[in-house]
Amino acid sequence: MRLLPQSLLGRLTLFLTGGLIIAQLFSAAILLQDRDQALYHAIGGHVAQRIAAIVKLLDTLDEIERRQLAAALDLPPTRLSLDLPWSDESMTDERYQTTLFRTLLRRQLGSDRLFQVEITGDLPSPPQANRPPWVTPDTPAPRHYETGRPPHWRMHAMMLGLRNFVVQVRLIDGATVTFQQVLPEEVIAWPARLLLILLVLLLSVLVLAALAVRALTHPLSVLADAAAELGRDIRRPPLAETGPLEVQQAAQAFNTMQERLIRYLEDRNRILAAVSHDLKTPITRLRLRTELLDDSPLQEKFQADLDEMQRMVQTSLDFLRSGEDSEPMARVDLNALLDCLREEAEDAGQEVRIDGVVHQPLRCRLLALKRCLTNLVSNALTYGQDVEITVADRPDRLTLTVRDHGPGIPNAELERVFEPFYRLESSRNRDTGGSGLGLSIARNIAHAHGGELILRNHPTGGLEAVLELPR
Amino acid sequence: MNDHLLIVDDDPSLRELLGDYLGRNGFRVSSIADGRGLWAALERESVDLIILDLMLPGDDGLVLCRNLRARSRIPIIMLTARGDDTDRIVGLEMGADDYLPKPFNPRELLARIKGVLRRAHDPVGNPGEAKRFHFAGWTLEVATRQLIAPDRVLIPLGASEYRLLRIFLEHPQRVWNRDQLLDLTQGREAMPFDRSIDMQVSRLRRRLRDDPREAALIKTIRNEGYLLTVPVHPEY
Repeated sequence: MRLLPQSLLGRLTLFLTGGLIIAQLFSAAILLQDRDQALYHAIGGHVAQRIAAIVKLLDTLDEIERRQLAAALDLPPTRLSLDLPWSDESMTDERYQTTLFRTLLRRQLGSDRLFQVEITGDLPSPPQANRPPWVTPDTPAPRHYETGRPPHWRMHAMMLGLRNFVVQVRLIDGATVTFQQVLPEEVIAWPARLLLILLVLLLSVLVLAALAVRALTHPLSVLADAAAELGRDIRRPPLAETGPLEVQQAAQAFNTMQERLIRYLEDRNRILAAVSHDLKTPITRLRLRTELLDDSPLQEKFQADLDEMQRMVQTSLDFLRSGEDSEPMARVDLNALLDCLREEAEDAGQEVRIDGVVHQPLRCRLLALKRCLTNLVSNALTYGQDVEITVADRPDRLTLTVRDHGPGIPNAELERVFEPFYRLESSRNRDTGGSGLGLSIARNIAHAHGGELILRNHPTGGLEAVLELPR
Repeated sequence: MNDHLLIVDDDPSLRELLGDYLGRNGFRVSSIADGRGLWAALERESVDLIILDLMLPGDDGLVLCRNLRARSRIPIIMLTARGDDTDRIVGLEMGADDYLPKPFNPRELLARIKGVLRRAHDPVGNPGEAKRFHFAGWTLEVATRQLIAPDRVLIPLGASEYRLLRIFLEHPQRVWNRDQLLDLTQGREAMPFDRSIDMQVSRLRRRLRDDPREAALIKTIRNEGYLLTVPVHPEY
């Protein structure tokens, strides 16, 4: 299974948002911890001051006055009691908050005062003997402290630290006073505003990243399309050299490459044309010289060689001309054209069947298209007798399929046989007299009509040439 | 008296070989390299036919051909190394009587020369081959064997359809029986119950969009044969 998205757009979006979320989580954690510590400094200092003031006041009062004062001051969020026994710290609490608070208290109470601090974020609810009396089942515990509180509470406590302080201080006469301070909910609550900001940030960065990535990947797909089209039409209009600098440079490089390719092809064609063309006069002269020979068997051999040379020259020139559009486009009755092909095959003693009709005349170059189909039909007749042409006429395109019942060709060769002068081994050996240009010419003509020509092996044997022409 | 041919070609060895070959075949031959010597040569002695190369230094064959046609009716055969169909059509448009692409078979050139000369010597004053025939809104292009329908749709004709239509077009409003048509199109006699001409006529009618039950162009004359009913205007 692939976890990575296939498209560049998907990948970049994934990396950007993934990275962003991780970075946000880290910064949120750091931010929250900072906030936590700052809160302890502020609130802890305040609480320590208050506890110290109350302790100093209680020191000066007698038992009855203490009780009156304790009753008056025993109000949430600061509760205090004089009735709880001193409970020894079960273990040394070295947590940051505890140490900090202990230091703050020591500063306020003086170094010789005996006190102990317990800070919990997780108030156990089962009542215990040494627990403050207000934390019993019959007194309403602060909200969220019930058993079975929602699971997110644990994370809440873990992330936001500890909010429940229990401080016991020995008074001057040995009595024990117990404070319980619960930090107010709003101080400890999820920093909703912070999370909202982070969320807005994440969303806007996401949208912007998607837009930016799209803007970046769009020129890439344009370039890919252009390169694919170049294979079919070397003279496609050049790319627009607009957009960001890098895109402009890529488009420029692409256009330059296209120009060079065109120039290269033109050079190649010019050379082939010049050679073929210049051969015509010497061949003509040789033909005349041959006619002047007296030895008639020799004359015939010369003529056969000259015929072959002439055919090669002519097909080379036909190939070079096959992509040109010297012939004007006209609406053509293709049924008549197919009948012509059938008749020509009949004259040569071979049979071509035609299946289906063309409903409307097609705009095309008649002579070129005839040459294209003639090449396909004569190939089919050469390699697999019993040829049928199937017509499928649809509103947007016309498909002509020329099928033979010969041996077909290996799948690996289906594309290669379109290359100029490429011939299959079997074709070479059989001396079928092909030039190796027939299919190249046919495909060039198909392309010049905005169409496509492919070969495929028919599942039940034989080769199919499929010519698709746009309407 | 031997016919006098004038060869205009810039390739000296081709001129020589051509002169040699045509001389052996009973012609009197002179040759020049380009258009500059052409008018002088024509004034010097009478010429029966000009073999004109299309690609010449200075004025090319097409220009010379047009200028020649403006002055005289001397038959012209064009030679060219280009040889695509548009060149051929342009050459014929410029007034050449025939056209042969290089490299040609010398015997074919000989046959063309004889054909063109025969037509030129025809005492009836045969204007030569028609380039196209117009009839009832239709046009038959001889050079490409294409039929152009009244709605400008191009219809390519097979060899037998073309031959049959040519017979009707060259002799309009004449009834042809099956034997005659078979002889002219295929050079053979009709076998008993031979329907092949009827099939060809029905194919031609389909090309001409002629309803066989109510044929407007090619009518069936019962027990006699077929008849093209519309007037034909050949264009030379």
